[in-house]
Amino acid sequence: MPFYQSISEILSENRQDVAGIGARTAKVIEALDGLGRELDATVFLDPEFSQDQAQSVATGDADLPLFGVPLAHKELYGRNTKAAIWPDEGGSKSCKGQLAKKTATTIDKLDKAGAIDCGRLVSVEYALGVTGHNAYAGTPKNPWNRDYVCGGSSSGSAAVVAAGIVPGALGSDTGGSIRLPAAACGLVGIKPTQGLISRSGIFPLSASLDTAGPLTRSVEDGARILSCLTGYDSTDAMSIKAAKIDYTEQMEAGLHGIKIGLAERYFLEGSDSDIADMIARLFDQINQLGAAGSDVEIPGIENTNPLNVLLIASEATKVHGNKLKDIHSDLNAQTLMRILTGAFTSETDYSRLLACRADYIAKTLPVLFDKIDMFLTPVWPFALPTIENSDVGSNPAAAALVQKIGHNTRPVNFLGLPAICLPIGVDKNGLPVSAQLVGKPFSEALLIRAARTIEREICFWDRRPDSVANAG
Amino acid sequence: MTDKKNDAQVKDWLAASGISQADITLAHETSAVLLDLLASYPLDDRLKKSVRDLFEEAAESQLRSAG
Repeated sequence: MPFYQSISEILSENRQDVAGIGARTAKVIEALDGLGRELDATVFLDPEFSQDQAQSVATGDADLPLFGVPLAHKELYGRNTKAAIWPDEGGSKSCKGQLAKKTATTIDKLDKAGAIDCGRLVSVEYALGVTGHNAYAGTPKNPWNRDYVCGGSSSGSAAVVAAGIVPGALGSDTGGSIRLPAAACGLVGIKPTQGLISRSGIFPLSASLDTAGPLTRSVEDGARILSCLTGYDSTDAMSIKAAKIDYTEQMEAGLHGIKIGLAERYFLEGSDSDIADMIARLFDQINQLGAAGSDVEIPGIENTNPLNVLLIASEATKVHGNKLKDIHSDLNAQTLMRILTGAFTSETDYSRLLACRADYIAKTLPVLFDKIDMFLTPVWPFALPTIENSDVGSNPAAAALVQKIGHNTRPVNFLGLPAICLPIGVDKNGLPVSAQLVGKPFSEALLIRAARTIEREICFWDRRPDSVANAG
Repeated sequence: MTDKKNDAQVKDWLAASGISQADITLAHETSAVLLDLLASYPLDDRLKKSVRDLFEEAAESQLRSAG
């Protein structure tokens, strides 16, 4: 049974009826166990823990920013407390039975904000995949049309939020793994600036590139969750002391004064014409809404996609390569190939890769953001594929298609920049099409403000997948 | 540009780990393409800052302007 409630609606009801928090939690867990499993999105539930947490929250401070709000998260997020130790399998048979060694800092922050943790959702194996296929944990079905992919790697998170079961879920993004599933499922996805949100306690893939952030149905819900997640964490080597911001504060301020660029070369030219046309029309629309638009050129951007692939592979090998002898037969062929590819990166190559990334960022960002505050791109470069057509395991010819999926997202990770994606319409098959806004480091508040204005104009919030709206 | 000594050692290690020759060869070829691209990047050795340093500076700048 889907609920489709916003965080503010849930907060309002919880504050009026504190005793109802337990009942709401029970309904959400029932839906995760029913519809969530039907969509192959739910991987772990602990109803007793969630109910205990709901009872504890209900007797606490009703002013907490996520007071009694039910959430569920990508299975990479660890929970290890006196009350519960949850699985930490990273979506992989190779980690079957592994338990979380610590609670993720982000999960701890959400607990302290009053959220109810309702369980864990399917990830692509090791978070290394963009379609959502996972032969071990399950391949989540897109609630908009169950024949189609959810995108990856935060595929379960996207499926249950799009199905209206929870208002938000955390995902992780190393090459597009929040934005691609959010876009595929008609959601808002926020990939924060590198270092803004701690990755401590999250199943690791790439020490340099991993980021954590929310998938939600609205910009406001994303802003509310993001506001609870920030803060320096000494247990994450990449964590940075940044300004603590309530991202909802300036959200309604409109587009006036915001300078937005359109990166036609690479991003639009590298996307199918129907997708590129939708983005170009949106660019015209936001100029009419008061933004100051201009074309931008990002020299060298085409190299950042393959260099991001190399950095992920090299760092994935550092994390998982030492147990290759024991685990290789349990890995799917694509995960194994990425780790094997990274094995050939010598320490000298690796040092050079990190230096090249720093050099490119240092040279590119000051020029890029001299005249603009953010730039606009598509997320998926083409219409969503079906689960069957994009299954590289059974159809090796799909590899070329799959390789292109991260075209618009990986460069953003390589640059370490914040991005927000949001739905702007539907494609020829009736599936969501999304736009991405990419901003300066730590400009999440401005991105949220721009995205909120676009969201108000597009009104995607009211659209719901028929297959879910009629379920239960 | 690939490092032949490193590559030979990695191939031996992967073979000893039970990885098939076909997979080792494909991974090596894929890696070589990516490492060639890396080698072609015109790196400016004068920059001594890490990515973290650059983002720390950006955060400090934002904190200064906010406060």
